[in-house]
Amino acid sequence: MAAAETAIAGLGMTELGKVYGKTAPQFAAEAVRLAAADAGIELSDIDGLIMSGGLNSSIGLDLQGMLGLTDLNLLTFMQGYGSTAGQMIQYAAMAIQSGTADVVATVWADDPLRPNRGGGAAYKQNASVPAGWRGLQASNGLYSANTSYALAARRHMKRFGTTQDQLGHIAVAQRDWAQLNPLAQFYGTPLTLEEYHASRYIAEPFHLYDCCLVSNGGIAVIVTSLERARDLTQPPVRLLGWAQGHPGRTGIRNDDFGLVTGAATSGPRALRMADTTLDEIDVVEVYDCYTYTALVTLEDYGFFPKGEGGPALAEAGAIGPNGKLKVNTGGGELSSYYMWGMTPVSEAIIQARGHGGERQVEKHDRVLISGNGGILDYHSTLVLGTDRS
Amino acid sequence: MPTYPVARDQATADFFDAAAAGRFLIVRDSVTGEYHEPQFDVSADPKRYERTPASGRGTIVSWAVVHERQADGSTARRTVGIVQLDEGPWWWTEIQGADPDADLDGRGVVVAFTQLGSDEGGEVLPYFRLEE
Repeated sequence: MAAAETAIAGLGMTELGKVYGKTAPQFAAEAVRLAAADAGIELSDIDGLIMSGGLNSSIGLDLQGMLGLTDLNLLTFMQGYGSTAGQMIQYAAMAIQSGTADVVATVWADDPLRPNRGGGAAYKQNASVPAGWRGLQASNGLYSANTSYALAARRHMKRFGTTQDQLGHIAVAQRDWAQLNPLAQFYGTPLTLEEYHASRYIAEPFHLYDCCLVSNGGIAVIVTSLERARDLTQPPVRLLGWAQGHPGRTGIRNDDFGLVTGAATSGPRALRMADTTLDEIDVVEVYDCYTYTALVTLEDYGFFPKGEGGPALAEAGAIGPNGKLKVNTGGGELSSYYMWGMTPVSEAIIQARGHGGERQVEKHDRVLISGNGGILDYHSTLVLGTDRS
Repeated sequence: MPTYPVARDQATADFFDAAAAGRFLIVRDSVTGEYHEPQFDVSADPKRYERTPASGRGTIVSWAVVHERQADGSTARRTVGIVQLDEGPWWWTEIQGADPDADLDGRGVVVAFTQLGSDEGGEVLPYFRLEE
């Protein structure tokens, strides 16, 4: 017997960005309540809960109690860093297909921002007692993901001739999308290529606007069977395909570091499961912790031949609201909000439902989502579809 | 040059002992002859995997220039990179003596050591510098 089809039935998003006065668990609980209301179900209909949070968030299994959920059939915290959101939805779908649970809420939340403290301080490691290998690297100046990804990007630039200007085009195109997204932290603040180049360096080759935002908030997604989703409030968003790709030993002795990522195995497998080809994909929401990450993921997924993503994305009319490739339509992590993997997931659901307002992509039957975690260590892919397709 | 003291843990004790004697330890697979990175877990098979001093030389695989804000509000540029040791494994490190505006791809580097902190608490820390 074929496994039951699954679907996303609910999306809950708290206020996102510079939002203070709540802890990550409180954001998570609010997001789940919002997702249930969005789906048109009672909280008590949820019988599975999968949660995750940022590096220092205090989200834990007591979220069940905060939500007043009893007699759950599935409960866990998981961590795959930027690949987490995609993974949580995959495990939720598999739990439903196996009969482990019927309605699974997946939620991610974080609270790294504090009032009167810059975003740059949000993810700084505690440097008071550095120890071991990590301490040694940190003392050598390698204490930030910005630097590690800069090393990856530089390698791509050296090997393939990718330029700063090409990375800038990605930043500008996504900022253009954000001008159509009232949820975006950079809504109302466009960016020119000149401003991109003039922005301060964080870790060369990365300027400030090569790097993602920092945000507080929470996003929850409710997964159930397609059959059940059809009886609920929102248009069902089908989960057509998924996969993961975790290369291992990245950056330790791996000739492909910075050049090829886990997306190269995860993407094609997810598309195969969805019985979908790349040219059938209408909307792409890629994990863009950095401009470079969007570029290398699009290459690895096969939208461009390896090494040709830079010039292709910088071509006039390639990306952005009027571009041929509809990628990161809400502004992405660079320009909308940084909810790790829930950023591309949430925008993908909005687009698949046809709820994108001014930024809605006309044809949105197939949506491809990436999640990338660690320093290109972990990758997840989802392929979503509308119920009519 | 490394900026603050680092404490050893069980996984790094042998490495820091060797660093104090001016040696940069990597791991050798006695079966295949292959070399592994310093972090490789020799406890997986202590008879097969042995720590051994590397030549301390390598070439730059990639590099970045970190812009660090100083207490006086100025910005300092600090070059870091991935080094492929001559024996094969990679090592992520600061690279001293490099022009941050230069193309460092493939340039040769050599290990150096510095001690930070007190004799009791501060380990001798390796970093790399550009070969003359």
